[in-house]
Amino acid sequence: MYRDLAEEVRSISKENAELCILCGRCSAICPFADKMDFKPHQMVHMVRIGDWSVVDSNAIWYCVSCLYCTHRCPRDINVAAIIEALRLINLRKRKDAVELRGIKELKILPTIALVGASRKYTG
Amino acid sequence: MKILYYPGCTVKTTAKAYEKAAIGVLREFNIEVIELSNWTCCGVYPGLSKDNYYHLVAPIRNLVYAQEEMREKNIGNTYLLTLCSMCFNTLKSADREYRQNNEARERVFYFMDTEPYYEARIRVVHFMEVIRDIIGIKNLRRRVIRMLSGLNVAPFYGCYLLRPEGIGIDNPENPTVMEDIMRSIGAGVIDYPYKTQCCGGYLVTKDPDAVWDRVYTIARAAMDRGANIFVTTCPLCAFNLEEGQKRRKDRLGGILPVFFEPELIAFALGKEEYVEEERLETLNNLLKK
Repeated sequence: MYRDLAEEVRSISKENAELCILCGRCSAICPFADKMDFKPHQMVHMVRIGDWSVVDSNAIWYCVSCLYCTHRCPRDINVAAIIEALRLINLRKRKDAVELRGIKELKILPTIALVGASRKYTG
Repeated sequence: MKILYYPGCTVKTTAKAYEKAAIGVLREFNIEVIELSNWTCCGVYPGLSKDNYYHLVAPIRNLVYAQEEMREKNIGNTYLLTLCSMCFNTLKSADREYRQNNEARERVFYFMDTEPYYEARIRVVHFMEVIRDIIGIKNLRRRVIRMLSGLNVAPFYGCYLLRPEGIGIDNPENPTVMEDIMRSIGAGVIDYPYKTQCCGGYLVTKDPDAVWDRVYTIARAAMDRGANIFVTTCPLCAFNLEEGQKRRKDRLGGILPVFFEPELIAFALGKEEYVEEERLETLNNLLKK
């Protein structure tokens, strides 16, 4: 069944990717942009043109919701919420990004990191 | 005055030093910190999705507990103190959403119909706001008996103390509250580009190396500008900064100790009993140099 990505993201996040002018400020400030296969402004653009490959990218899991992109956006798009919507499309299908028991540093991590991970990486 | 306090998971486990110092410092200014007798996880990370409200349940439930306890114990004000930046942001964001969004309020109310109704009168405050707005930085300065003049502090705010605008406690682009407090206890403060940036957060569970590299960048910038100590108020930032520097020690050529803000304040007030012993030693060594 054909589904419109832009529509789906809009229904989850109530954010309108159409407003984006591709200025790239979000990607400039993103702390993990260099680890992402698609940069934040590219992700917003892919949502707009309905490119579903962004949903399977690793970039969405490198976003740590620091909200700097949202804060800097000149068009007031909540970029972090759009990326969260892309994560939720996966998580709501039970496609988890981490296996909590398999976390490398499990023994030393503070609880806040583990609860954060279970909120953001598991459905 | 009395103030009700929501601790959160991490100040009870890996960041005990933070809690001990913060409660001690407030006691010095006649603020009696009363811990909630009943609390759960804050919900960690203010929810960004708008099509359901499940992320409001945990924070609002805690606010209900606080509301009931405020009434029982006659607290006399509506502040709810938090130490952890994440708890602060999650509770405050949920409270705002609940106040502004009628649908959210209704849905949460029907979902939690066994709990009392949340009247949305609580004001969630962070430790630093209490110092700045209730105690006053001038009053803090008056009580300092030991100026920490050997310290060159790299303040690290992290994300959730500052963003989004309206929730954060200071200007999100150029906050100064931590610098003001540090200067008032005699410490030097350095300026570097990463003070408002992300430490890597929970990515440490998925790709720790990316976070350690991130911490390397932050620590390198701070060291190059002459810092000898990191100060933060977020237990996750503290963990990442500490652990990341250890993992990148060879490339960094050293490690900056990471302290929570109230620990330094307690030390400046001459209240060493609020600082844990091995950390006290680190501080003394820094000041001797």
